[in-house]
Amino acid sequence: MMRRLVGMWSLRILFAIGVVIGISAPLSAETAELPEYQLKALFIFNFAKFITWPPDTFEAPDAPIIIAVLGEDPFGPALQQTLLGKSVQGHPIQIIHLASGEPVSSCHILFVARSEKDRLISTLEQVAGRAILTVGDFDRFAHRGGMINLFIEGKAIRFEINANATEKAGFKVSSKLGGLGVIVRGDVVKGSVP
Amino acid sequence: MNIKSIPVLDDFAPLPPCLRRKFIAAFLLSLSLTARAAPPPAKVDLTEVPLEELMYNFQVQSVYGASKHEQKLSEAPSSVTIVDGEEIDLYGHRNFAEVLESVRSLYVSNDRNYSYLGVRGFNRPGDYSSRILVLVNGHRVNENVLDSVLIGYEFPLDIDLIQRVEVIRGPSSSIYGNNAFFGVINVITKDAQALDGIKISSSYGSFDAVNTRLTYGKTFKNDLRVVVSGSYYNSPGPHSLYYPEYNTPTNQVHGGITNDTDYERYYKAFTSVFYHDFTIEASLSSRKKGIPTGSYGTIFNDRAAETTDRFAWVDVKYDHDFGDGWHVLGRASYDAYNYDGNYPLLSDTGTRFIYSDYAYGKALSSELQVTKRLFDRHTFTIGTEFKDNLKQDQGNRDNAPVPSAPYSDHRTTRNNGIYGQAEISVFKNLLVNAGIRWDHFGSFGNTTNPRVAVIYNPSETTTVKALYGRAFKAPNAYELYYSGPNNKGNRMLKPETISTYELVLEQALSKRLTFLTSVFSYEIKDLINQTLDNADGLLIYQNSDRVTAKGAEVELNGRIGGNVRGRISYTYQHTEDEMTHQDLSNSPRHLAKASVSIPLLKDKLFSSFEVLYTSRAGTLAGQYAPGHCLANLTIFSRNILSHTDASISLYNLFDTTYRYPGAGEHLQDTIEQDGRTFRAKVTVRF
Repeated sequence: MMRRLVGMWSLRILFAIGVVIGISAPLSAETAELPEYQLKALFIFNFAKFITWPPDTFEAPDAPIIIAVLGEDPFGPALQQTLLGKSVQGHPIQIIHLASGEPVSSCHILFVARSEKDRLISTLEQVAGRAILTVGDFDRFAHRGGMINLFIEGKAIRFEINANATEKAGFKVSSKLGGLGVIVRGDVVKGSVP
Repeated sequence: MNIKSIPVLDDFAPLPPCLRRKFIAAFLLSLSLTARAAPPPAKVDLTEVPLEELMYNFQVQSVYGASKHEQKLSEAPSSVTIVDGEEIDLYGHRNFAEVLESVRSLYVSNDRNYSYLGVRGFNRPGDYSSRILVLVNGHRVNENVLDSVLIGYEFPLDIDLIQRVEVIRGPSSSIYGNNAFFGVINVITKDAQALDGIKISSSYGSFDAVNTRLTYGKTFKNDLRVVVSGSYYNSPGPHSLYYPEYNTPTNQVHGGITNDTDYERYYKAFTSVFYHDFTIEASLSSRKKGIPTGSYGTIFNDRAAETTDRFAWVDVKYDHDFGDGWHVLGRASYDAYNYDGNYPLLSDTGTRFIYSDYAYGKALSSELQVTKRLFDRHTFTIGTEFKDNLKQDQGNRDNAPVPSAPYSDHRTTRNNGIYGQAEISVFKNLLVNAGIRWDHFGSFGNTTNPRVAVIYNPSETTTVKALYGRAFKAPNAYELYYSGPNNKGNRMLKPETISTYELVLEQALSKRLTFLTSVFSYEIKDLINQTLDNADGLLIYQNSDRVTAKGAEVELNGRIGGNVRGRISYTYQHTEDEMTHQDLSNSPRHLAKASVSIPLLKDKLFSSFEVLYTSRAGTLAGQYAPGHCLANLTIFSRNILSHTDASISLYNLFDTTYRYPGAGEHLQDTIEQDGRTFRAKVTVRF
């Protein structure tokens, strides 16, 4: 019952397999891996692409669109590197950083970092009624009044949209975004200043 | 018990000059032709990628184990390989040893009782895998009597629950303490979101091997996440195995044929409950294996020869991000381990009796770790671990006509450790990672182990790492205390230490393809060896050996030709025992591996193959187990019918004869492994 040892014919089969790899046409899409916050920066870019701000928000069609990061910045250089020099809907992107607890100055997208979790309500009160898209990436951000929450499912990024909050603020969310995200009927935080 | 092994004549015809170089060259050539056929990918502006693609074709990349917190692969102070759980489906891996076998630097051997893991040329016959630390979700799986980890079907966790495996090479005692000698392997299980629903899986393979699994995962509205899984495996094994060592004029037992003794069965259960910052996990496993080899002088072809290994643990973890860069991890766990071995022997008067030995371990452990991220550039970690070995029991007894006095040894010891690590971003592209850990062991005293790594990015696509580290392996309860008719313990044993230098270069050839090369050199001092004390003829463990090793590795991994994914690697490893000035036993000089997966139908049908080459390995008798090439092929289909996955696999495709070196307890100098085997598997989701 002597069993065969690796021989020339198996060598040829392995070579043939190698050739098959060479001629296989690109069929299925590949899965690429990116660092978490580079991926999230791209999502924020896409939110800006598919949301319409209330009329008269921008002074001019080519006025800058300002993304503010409030609190301890988890992006590192990723936000700057990914979006610098890009424009969305004709508006060049500008990025500013706000320290924890700093008053929210004029901006169009506010990314609320995890460090602000316990100050969420007071932060949302500040920006209520100001046509600012609030984005976060911690548990229950959208349920508690934020507008879009980024979360990780398995290894992929997904997002929830608080439709109550976006409607109240006068945003028009493209059906494309609404279709890809999870719609949540979360709280709406009213402004502290009438 | 120690049987002097006798040289064995290889009954098979001598090998033609091994074709390994020609085969590897041919394969690499065909791969390089492929790489040239596909145009180099243009620098992609990621803002142009459509949102659907970002959601379905992109994933988050990270590694947890190297520094005990989430970290980018290129910043880890080690050479890391990540095996994705998906590969276990694609390549049809049947047990954890098959998963590890496909990874660069690792190789496996098997004596038809247990599987053993070799890292960078070190896998001495007779050693248990105690120079590598294996974690499941950060929980130490090495048991507390032999400090070993069992990697074959006997591994406590069902491998279908694996989300990913992080293989972190290099000394990691600066963080993990004992056993992180050659590296750490961290196994991360699938969470409830990945397992959503009920899955029933069933497989049938060669030798009537049957495996059944039921897994349930659910995320509740209040963010409670539950995973429960149970599985069962039963293989009667080959009906007959032939060992020429039992078919000689002086040793004739049943014509050298053993029937139905290579059986194996296990059951495994696992559960994980996650709620806010708390995770509770519990695991239970039991595995029984028949021993066909007649090891330890047992009666050949006797079905009573068997070992049973049981593991159980409960682990409670608290993991919380306090904001402002502070992160706290707390853990408390209870572990139990039980080994039982039954060995049928013949007394002097020719009466058959059973000799049994056992080990019983119980431990309570706790851990607290605090991490602080400063200015978003530097990370500081301090931690402390405490372990109370409630039981480290070993013993034996027999029911011979004149029974020997039963032997038992009971121990309780305590260990604790304290560690710190600093990761400092000196410049934007220069990271220094330095760590040190002090351990106190009730058995031998103190040990301090440092590690330092410099990680430099000369460009965005290139990473250079220079690493130095020291690690230790504490003497285990068996080496310290076990005294039988043939052995005596040694309370004076010190830990083994290893010093490693490594230089790594990682180059991203494209967004999807990475090239890696590394050179390493290590020295092991005070290696614990079993020696004979001539004064009383008893075996005793001593810190009597020194081993040095050097090696170089190359790896290419990622995706090519658009959608083909895979890994190809080569390792040169040269070990030398400083006492004998020879290579260690079971230390093949060359390892070459290729794993490639090709989609045949978009997202639905995959054909994946592995080719694993191991060069010849020295045996205890001074002979060689010949070099061998193994090829495995799996056709895997996701959603072949709705909610059904199916696969068919062929292992050792070309029916190659291959053998692994036996240990002191085997009459066989080398132990032949299985020929071509197959497995068909179906998984249904509800």
